[in-house]
Amino acid sequence: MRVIEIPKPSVIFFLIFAALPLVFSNPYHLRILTIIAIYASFVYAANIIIGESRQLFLCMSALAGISAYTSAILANSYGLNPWVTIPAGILFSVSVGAMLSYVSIVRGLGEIFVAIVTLTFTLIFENVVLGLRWLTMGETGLVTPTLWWPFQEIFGRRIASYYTILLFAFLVSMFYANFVKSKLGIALRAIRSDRISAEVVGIDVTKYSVIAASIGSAILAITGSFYGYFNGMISPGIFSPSMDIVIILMLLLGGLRTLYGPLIGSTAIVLLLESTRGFGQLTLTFLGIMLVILILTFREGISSIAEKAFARITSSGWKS
Amino acid sequence: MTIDIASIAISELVEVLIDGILFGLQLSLLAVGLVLIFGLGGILNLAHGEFVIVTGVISAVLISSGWNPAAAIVIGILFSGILALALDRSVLRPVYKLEGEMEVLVGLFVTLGLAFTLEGITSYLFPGLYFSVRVPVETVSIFGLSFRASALVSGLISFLSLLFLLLFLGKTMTGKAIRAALQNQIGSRVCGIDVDRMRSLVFFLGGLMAGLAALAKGIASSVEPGSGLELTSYALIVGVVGGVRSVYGAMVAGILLGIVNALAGYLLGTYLTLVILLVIVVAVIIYKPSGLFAGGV
Repeated sequence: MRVIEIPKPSVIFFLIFAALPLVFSNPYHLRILTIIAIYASFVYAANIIIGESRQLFLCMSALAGISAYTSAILANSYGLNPWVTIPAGILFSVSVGAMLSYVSIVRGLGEIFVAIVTLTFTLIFENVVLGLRWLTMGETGLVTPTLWWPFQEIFGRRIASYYTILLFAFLVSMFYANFVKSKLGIALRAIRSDRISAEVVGIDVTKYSVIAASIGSAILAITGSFYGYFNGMISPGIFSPSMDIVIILMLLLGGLRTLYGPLIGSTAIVLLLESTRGFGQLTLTFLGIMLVILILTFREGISSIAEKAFARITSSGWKS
Repeated sequence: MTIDIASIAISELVEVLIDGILFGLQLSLLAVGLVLIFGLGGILNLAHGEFVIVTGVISAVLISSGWNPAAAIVIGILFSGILALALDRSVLRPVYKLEGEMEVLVGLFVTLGLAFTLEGITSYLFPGLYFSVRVPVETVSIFGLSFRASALVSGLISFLSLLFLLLFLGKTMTGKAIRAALQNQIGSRVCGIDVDRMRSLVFFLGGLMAGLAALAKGIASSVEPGSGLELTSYALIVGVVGGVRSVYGAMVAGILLGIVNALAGYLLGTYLTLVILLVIVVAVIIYKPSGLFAGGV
């Protein structure tokens, strides 16, 4: 039997985050911590879809949104427990994500066209949500039903929701660490380095790419639903194309195809966005300038640079 | 009685069609700049809509500080051209050194970053500002059909701008050199065409076209900060349907989508219109990724 790997730095990171509410206990700080955990999961999904399987999905916000809306609408209109409707939302998002991936691979679309198709899909999602006013409340946003968070009776809703979402992010992180070493992860690596050779040795490119997109969509869907229930309301403004940009920015800053990149990226950018809140629209400018600098200067991201520096220190230590 | 209804419906349909063509010309004008830059620069310029906004903002600011509107608009349009040129000469330089898919991807993200930068600056500095040019006459009636004068003028300006571009590309030596470079960069280098200079020129032209699109849109409706990415997505839609490298394709696709837009808006209401347009784009990309009118330059 294969042993499940649990990388220590990742565990330490999550233990720190689990301890943080002891210091930062006011609702505002707790909210920021929760949002960091939410984005960390989003970025892991992006790392699988964009990083590992090189499908430039610009519809991550829409996939998260589809699930959040499906779950909330079903729970609202049939009076169901949200925990029952979340799987329905996941199923919907995963089918959409898998379909987009399947169609673009079968039609042989290049990365650019995948990007345009998925971006267009995001715009369709946004407009459908805006248009189906009677169902989604349009621009004003839909108030999500109350979700029961585990142990909320003991710790209160805020703390309970934070730990549930943090635990999920931790599981996603562990999943990613094992995913890259699995058969699927290795197949994706082979496809990435040379698609034709991979096909020649018998790797089913379509199958593995669609599976990767489906796994990513499932993570996006679960996180999207949690986001909706945590936030208390969902609107097209939350799941807008700029969410995709923020996710990609986090991924690039932290480091594409790294285990710690999503954690570093989401923490850094959420904190940056929160601290520049007072500048209003100029926040966009900060994000834009960062994106330009990041993409032109270090596409490797902080995580791999830190790893290299760490390796250099340890190797020079052995020599002396 | 039935004949009456039919004739009303037909004259209304003609009005809708012409309205669609006029709007389509605007779309074409918006898209040609994007297509030109993609064709030669290899960069899918996601900051294209911001060039439109920049012209609008500069013109509106100059007009409100007492400038002659015509002079203000000319300065605004030139400014967009120069901004595009400046971007080509600075941040986009490193991108050209990359190759193939990587160049396109990095270019995509760099221009997206630029779009955010410009969108942030314009909406932070000029909140609530909008650029709009009034046409003195409300409606014009031709052969018993009535049209909004602003739509006609806007369509005419779009048409003239497109005609200018076509003549420039078709008749002048520089234009021919650009077309040669669009078709085959290495071949045109061999023939002694300075492709780098042509690319800078194409950026300048693309910026000017965006500026003219701002004028056309300012006459028909208004241009305001914050809507740059929306304009870019319209330009993308038209460009993709026309075949991302084809200038003629973009012109035809713009008019076609303008007609679809008007008909769908007339028959189904505004909400479904955009969804239909977007679904068409997805269908076109999946069915024929090279675009409907790919081939020509």
